[in-house]
Amino acid sequence: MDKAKKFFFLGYESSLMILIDLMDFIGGSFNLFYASFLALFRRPFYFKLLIEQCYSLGVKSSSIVFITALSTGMVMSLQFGFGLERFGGKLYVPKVVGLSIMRELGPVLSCLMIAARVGAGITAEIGSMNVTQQIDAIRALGTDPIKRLVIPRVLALLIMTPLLTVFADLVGIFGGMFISNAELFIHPDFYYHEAILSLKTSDFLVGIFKTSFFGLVIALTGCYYGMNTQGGTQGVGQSTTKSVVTSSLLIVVSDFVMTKLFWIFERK
Amino acid sequence: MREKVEKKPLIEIRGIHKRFGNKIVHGGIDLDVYPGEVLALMGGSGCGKSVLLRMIVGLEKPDRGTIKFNGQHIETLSEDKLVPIRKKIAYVFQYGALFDSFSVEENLAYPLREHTDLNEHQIHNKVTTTLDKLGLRGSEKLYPSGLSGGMQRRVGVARSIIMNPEVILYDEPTTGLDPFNTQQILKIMLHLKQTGATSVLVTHDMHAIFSVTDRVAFLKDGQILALGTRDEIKNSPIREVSSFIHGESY
Repeated sequence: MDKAKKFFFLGYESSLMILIDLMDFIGGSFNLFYASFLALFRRPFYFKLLIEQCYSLGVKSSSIVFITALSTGMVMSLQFGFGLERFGGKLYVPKVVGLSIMRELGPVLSCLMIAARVGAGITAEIGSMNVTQQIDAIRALGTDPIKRLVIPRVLALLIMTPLLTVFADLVGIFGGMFISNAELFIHPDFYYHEAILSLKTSDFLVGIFKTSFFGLVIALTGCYYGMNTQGGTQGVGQSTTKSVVTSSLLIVVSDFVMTKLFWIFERK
Repeated sequence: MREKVEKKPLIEIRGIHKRFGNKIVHGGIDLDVYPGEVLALMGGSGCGKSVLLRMIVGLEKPDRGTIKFNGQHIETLSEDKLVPIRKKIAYVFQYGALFDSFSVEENLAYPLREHTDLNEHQIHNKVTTTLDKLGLRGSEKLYPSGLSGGMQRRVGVARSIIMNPEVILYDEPTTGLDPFNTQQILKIMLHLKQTGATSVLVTHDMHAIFSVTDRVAFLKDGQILALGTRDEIKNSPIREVSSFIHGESY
């Protein structure tokens, strides 16, 4: 009985801690967003830092996005090809692959990869700066850490995630085309016609809108956990884990919410 | 001492209260810092010396009480409004807090690029002159990871004084340094004192306290237990103070 009670209270306590952490995160990240929004319009503007971050967060992520998108397109083609073949629907593969990649898998998978690479990097970098008092030094030297650290990263991801998603969409569809031709014997001209030309502008725009939101989520989550890192190197590790887990969960959950909202909006 | 008392304080600290969770760090601290003096804050670990120092530059806000610099309240100012104050008050961090993605030259150039209209040539000259003063010539292109602990502290001091601040706050600048680097830091502090800069120093280093300071404040249990000239503190009849100075338990 005692053990059961202890177990119950432990569970209760850890649930409470998770809830407090969650409330902290929600409040803190909204505060950070608000402070960043206000600081965005104040001088000085660090264009050089923005360019550096676009390169470091965006361009350098292109290889993992490429591999993810290519593999996804190829796997989708194979799975749908063999699945639909049983019902004589093999020729629908280009449409299914194109639509899934453009609306869902391109944005979500590329952003999950970006969250893993870039979100972790942002938190580790800012977290290390925090525990070594470099952020205090930025403030003590009369400059604003939000302007120097947060805004360039948020803007860079807002700019680069949609671009990377367009890249992922094209690579994914190409991967599907390659496998469809090699394994399912679907001619590339037919694939291209079916996959690209049957897509609507709204399919593309939905994916891009989602990606911009995911980019904002990754950057704000990474910066929030970095700026609130405490406790030395161990703290940096914990913050980095929290940052990746939180941004990945937010991407998956918000993807469902946005998809549902777009469905309602598009059906009208 | 009498002269200093008659001067108007540059920094006025009144009734400062601060707590972190259940721990009361400051329980009503009053302190004045006069222009041109070197004041040391002394006390056991965790007595709130560094927190007090951080409050003077606005890195920490008191729960209650006021801090004035040149008659202007600091505790109520937003980060934006603190910028002009922070140009006048430099903070030397315990381990230098150098930006590790910047070279030594870039670290020193940082405040100049942010707050002055100097061109790159003028910035380079000013950086070189400052590094010369601190015996760091030749380290311009090095990164903090390639510097010894003592050099990192000296670069930290160089970055803090490059804007010619009125006040310099030192947070344990000599802790853990070898005698050579300790001596170098003390020399810099003495030099700055001669140029008329006001300094507040947090340290456990008795040699530093009794060689460069004018006055010493001893903190204990969130209060200032003793305040006086370095000789008054050295010969203090208060048991806690004399025990602390002589490294005995108190």
